[in-house]
Amino acid sequence: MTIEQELELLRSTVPSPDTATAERIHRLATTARSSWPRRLRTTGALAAAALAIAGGSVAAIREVPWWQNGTPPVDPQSVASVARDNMPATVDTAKARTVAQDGSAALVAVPLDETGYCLIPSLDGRASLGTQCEYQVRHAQQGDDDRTVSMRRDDAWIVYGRITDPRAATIDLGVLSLGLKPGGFFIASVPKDRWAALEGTANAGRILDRSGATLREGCVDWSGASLWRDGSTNCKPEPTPTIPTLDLAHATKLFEITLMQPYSIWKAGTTIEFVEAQSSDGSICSTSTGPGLATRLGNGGACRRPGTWSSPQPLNVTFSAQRAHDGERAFYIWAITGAADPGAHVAKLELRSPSGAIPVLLADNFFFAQIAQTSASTDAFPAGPYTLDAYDASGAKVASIDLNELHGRLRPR
Amino acid sequence: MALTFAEAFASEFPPLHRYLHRRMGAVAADDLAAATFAAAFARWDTFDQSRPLRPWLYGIAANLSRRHWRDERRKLRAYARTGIDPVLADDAEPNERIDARGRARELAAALAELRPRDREIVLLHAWADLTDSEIAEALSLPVGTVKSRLHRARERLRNRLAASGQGEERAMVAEQ
Repeated sequence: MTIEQELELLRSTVPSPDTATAERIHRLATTARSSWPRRLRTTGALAAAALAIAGGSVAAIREVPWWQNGTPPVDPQSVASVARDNMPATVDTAKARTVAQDGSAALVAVPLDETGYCLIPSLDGRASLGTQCEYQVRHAQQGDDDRTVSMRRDDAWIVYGRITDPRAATIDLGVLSLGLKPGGFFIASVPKDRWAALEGTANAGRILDRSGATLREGCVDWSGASLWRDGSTNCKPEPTPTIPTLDLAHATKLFEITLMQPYSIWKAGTTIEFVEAQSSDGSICSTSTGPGLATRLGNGGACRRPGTWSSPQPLNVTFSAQRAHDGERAFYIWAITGAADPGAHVAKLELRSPSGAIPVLLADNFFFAQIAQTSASTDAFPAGPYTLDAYDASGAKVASIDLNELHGRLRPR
Repeated sequence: MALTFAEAFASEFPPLHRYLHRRMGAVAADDLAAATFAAAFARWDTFDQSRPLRPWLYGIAANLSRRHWRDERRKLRAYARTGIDPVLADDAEPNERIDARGRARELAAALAELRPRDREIVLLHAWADLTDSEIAEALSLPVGTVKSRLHRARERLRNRLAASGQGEERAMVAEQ
């Protein structure tokens, strides 16, 4: 059994919430916090008590919290706006402070709950560069909740973040050595004359205390968004892979289906569409779209290179299994998606089972079908047996696939 | 057509609650799901609906869950130690809470030993069915970081289980 299958089984008997729970929580979520039930408010009171205790222990290390003596942000309204749209509701923007500055680059930090924090970098007064939050700082000396960011724009390259170790005084990034501000914050512009040399590279870095002793060694990665990784061995750049994007503006509809079983986020009875769109990596992708979901890769769709067919078989079949519960029992709902070799001129597909044959939706050699039966695990495709038969325009059978046998061969062992 | 909050709740609440229940238990799941959807409701008007919904919601839930990391680890360790899973305590008969599978207990112990962030990535993948790119969006991490952490965490789980499996085999030989 693979580790993924073992994880799948662990606590798999946990049921989906019942309707009463859903209604109660919907009511809570859409009601002002002051009317939340006692248990939730008690949690808040405990959090406040924890804050008082945490405040005491923090005070032993740093005399005052970092936000207490800092400078308020230049544009508090902008900070409040960014916080409203991008931060947890419990963030306290009244305590937002400008914690580090370098030329036109500034870093505003906002405390969050007991020990958490959010970062808002800005350039030239524009606070629209994204935000990062850590809900809680634990094991500050180990840096588990540090944030270090490298942000490259056409006209600017800044690095910023927070080193939470209260002993830390300097972060040595190789080409830059930055003194940490109260709270461990930093921001700096990468000199333009260094861009070409740094781009796509990584080098060793250190976090130092006030005496210059090394607290931690790490890898400074100038190629990705995450600037610092702990550990100096195997320091290589880890560029962020480019995720292909679909040209949805020019997507064409393949077919629509009213689901007989839940599929992806949709319930049975929902009508969804399968569309085909050009991907930025040159392939053609088929994917599903429907209420509440922006179309995305990997949502039951498939991509192929135009004019190529690499499989020796005329049909490529992908199985997908989705967990579901009926309150007591967990089970899996199955679907198949896939593509037909254009050279096989498949005009019709049928899914055969002991209960009869049903037509399979097919357009531009992409197909999709839901399986009526369910199964108890991802190891077992529904017993069926199920067969997928392909026919050309004259009605001649051009392929027949035993889905149970195929699934048995494909599943991980 | 714009998605209403009620529609989003209807589609996303059951899997989110169950995911949180599996991680933290029923009581914490109620609190966290309520807080997650309360935050989502407060920001619904400004939520960019061209963005995928699930990573946004699971990102909020991930932020809120961090205060429960220690409790999550404690429950995993208790399960590993006793075979009685505290997460199932609220809704299962006592005999259902006792999992005789030693492997499940070893897996719980191995999960407890992971760094909290790595555990979160593993469970978002395994129990919430989020893709690497969805996890990256939910946790505001580069996709490459998610991939490498997932790979590393799985390796640790495999190694831990392999080591415990060898231990069991040795114990059986010794008994014979």
